[in-house]
Amino acid sequence: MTSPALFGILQLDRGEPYGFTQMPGLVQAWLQDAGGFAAVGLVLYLLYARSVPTDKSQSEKMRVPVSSFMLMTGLMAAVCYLGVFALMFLGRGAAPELPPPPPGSVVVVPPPVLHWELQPMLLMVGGIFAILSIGEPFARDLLKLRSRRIWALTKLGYKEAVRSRLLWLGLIILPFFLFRNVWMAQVRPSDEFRILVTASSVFITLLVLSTAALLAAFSIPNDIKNQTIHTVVTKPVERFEIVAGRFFGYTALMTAALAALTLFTLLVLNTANVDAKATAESATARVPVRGKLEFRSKKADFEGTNVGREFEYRKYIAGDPASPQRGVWQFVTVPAALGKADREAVVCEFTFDVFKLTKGEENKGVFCTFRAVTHACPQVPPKDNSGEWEWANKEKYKEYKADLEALRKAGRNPEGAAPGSDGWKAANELAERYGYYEIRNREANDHAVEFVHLPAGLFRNAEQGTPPDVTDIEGKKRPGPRVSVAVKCESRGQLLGMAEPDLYLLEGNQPFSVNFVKGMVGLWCRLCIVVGLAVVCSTYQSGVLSLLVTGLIFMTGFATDHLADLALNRNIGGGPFESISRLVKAETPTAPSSETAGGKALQFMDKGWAWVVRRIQNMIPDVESLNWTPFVSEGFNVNIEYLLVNLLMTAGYLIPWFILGYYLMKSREVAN
Amino acid sequence: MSQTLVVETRSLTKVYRDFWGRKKKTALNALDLTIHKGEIFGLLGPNGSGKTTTIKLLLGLLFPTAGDAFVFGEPAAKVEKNERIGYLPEESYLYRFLNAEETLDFYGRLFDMPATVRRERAAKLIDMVGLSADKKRILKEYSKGMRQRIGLAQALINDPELVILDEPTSGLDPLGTRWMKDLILDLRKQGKTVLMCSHRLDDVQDVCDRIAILYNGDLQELGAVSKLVEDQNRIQVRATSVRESPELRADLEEVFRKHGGTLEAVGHPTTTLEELFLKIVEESKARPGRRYLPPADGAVRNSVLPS
Repeated sequence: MTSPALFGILQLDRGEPYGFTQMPGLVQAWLQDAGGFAAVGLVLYLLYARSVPTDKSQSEKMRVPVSSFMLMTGLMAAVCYLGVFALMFLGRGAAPELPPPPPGSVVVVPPPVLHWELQPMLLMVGGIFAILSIGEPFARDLLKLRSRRIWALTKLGYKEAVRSRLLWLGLIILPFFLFRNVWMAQVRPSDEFRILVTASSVFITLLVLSTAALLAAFSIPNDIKNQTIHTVVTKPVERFEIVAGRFFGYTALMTAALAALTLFTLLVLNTANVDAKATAESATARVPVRGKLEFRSKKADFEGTNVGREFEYRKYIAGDPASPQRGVWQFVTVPAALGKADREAVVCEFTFDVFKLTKGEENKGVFCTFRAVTHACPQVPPKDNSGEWEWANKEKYKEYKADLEALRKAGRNPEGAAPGSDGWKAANELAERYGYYEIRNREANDHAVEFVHLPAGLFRNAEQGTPPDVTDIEGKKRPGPRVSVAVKCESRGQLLGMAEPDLYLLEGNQPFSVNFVKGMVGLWCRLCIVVGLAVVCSTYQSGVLSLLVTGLIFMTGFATDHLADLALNRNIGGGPFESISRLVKAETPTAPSSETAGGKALQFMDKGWAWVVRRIQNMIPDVESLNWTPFVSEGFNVNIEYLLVNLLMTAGYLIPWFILGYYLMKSREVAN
Repeated sequence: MSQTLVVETRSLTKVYRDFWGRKKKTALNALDLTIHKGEIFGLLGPNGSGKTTTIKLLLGLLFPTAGDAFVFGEPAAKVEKNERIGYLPEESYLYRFLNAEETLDFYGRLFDMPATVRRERAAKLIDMVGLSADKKRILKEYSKGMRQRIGLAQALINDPELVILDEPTSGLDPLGTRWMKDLILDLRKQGKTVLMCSHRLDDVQDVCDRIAILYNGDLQELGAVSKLVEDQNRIQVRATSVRESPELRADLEEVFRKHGGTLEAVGHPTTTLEELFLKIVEESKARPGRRYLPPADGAVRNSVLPS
């Protein structure tokens, strides 16, 4: 039951990818952030509108319009923001602040949640007004856009790129595959497929994004330099149509290139001479059903043990036959497919980290017990020191025991039975009747993907009735789980580490090729971001500068976690101002902060700096959340829901940039 | 001539500034100008006088520092006005990776023209500018004259009411220049208004109804060409079938003296070099193999013009 390779260890240290449940929070956060930038933009625009046309000619009024709608919504936004400041001053209506993680721990940006408190709501409403205000001329001009013109400009960009023969760069992919034996010489056979998928995805990413950035960054600057733009803007062309045309042109072109590279790579992957076992393990797309991990013990506030590892991704439970500690995965929703009448078993895969306190047996893992129960079979913590959790309904437990005994006597022992056997049928019957199944003393090896079979009858039982609500530690009620899988470590003196993605139910497998293509959707979103950024930057900057700015913004997207650290102002040794002071005074970073007036002033300045970093953070694309290579290479299905959220997030990121591009292009004298 | 205003500028001023907003140069200073429907209007002036700046302000390529510009009664910043304008820049700034057909199709699309109209009009214009044989070649391979021709075709793709030509004869050979001037005159016959700027005075004189002379951003002179070039202090008499002789000169002096004037010159009128060139080319076409023969006696002899 143990697979030798490390396949399938998908480490979601950033948490589960965003799905539809995060959408309200995402939208609220977007309205607040984009609204903030819109408000700043509005102030700058109004100042520009007041100062530029010295004699208010009709042309200038038309070029820099200030409508009453714009002023009215701007005023409403100002009122909202003043309200937020007043509430902040009074200390009311703030969203609950998350406790900052201790210094040195991994920054996990919590998934956005919709806040109903007055401050975040007012900030959101202010943002809506600011966006409406600054977006009004943009929206009005959008109505003037004509698809035929945009298509003409799109085709122009496409033809230019094709005829400049830049796309021949795509042939660089050939040496990558031709010399595969050279760069994969040191790779273990079992890792071959995964490495090949990862490396080819990274290679395609670099190739596509760098080509797209080059094309898009130099397009409009070249048009202006060669003055070809003169014959375009003197036609009835809205300035933004040029931006849109270039964006769509290069996106279409690079999409075609990406599609070609994807198909070629798939062809190579499907025909490559790769270790058969590695292909069987990784060339798939497992559809996992993930649960929520909770740690349980006799103490209600048990949250797992910290073993002092710097990387606190996993928490641990103590191993002992009498240990009441459990890692419990709760599945609030269970797909109907798991409990289908003709289904015999459901695979439950797991990967644990074994932290050994004693040497134990050489080349042996630890022993675990898996107890899967439905909402019909609630469990309670042990009252004695046995460590065994008990059935809440004792009568039912007696019935179960009697039935089990009867089956044993009939030669259909469900314990330790494998799917397909008579015993397994008995296990299914029992699980369907009682909503209970237990596997005792299963060996779990350190960082290996292993699995156990759960009877499908358990899931048929789970579908019956409605689970009662449960109350969490904070006293909040939430829907109870239909199925729970509790893991206990039986090996004395050992600790078993686990994180939420470490155990899941396997709903099924999808074709690898489809998953590979889905993974490329994330890259396509990145492509849109690169092209959009480069085109917008090029509306006011030279090609070289546009390329550099695009590269800088995009690459910073890979360091969003570090930025979050800076934004939270929780670096060891303080922010930049305190750090300079420590340098001058030759103080170690770990020394306590100065409590003098000067020290407090530096800390205040660092808070200001953190505020600036938070604003910069909002301008940086979260490119990591668009990276599906780990999912694809590890053989996990990329959920369509994630991709749809990706697309929405990409659109949300690009809209403010496009509005900026609209204003920059409109205010530019292309002949100057 | 109809007095419908097509172009109007009111104290139109353009000051170029550096990055810090400091004044670099006043390219145009309080220009007041009106151009009427159906006329050919010329903007004249040396390099840097503000001709091209005026055109760019009218087209919205530049924004005025002060004053205002109107085309068809609409502010210059209004994009929709461009529906009725055709513009040929000084250099034919076209996409060199496109061929002639693709170029006209591209600009036709920018006018939101349906495909059938675009194709029909492009074919007609390519034929008109004499590029039918080269319509599949990319513009990168075109000569300067050919690019100027396709540039003119793109300016006319929308059948504009106002045609703005910046140095239209630049880069053209005398034949091309003649062709361009004829075309401009033809545009007037079609009822279109033409605004052209040039520093080739003969071109302007040949085709323009009215001109404005700019110098250093200031309007120096404005009016009908015929009136502006007319010398009110002199009169011109031409005659045929009479030989030049001292007697003729004496008689003419007598006549003018009688009317209180003075005879300044008697001689043969000269043709323009352009006329001479065109005549030679026409004759060469009519008589293949025709060559210049130096006179046997060493004297300069014109073998082309009829004696």
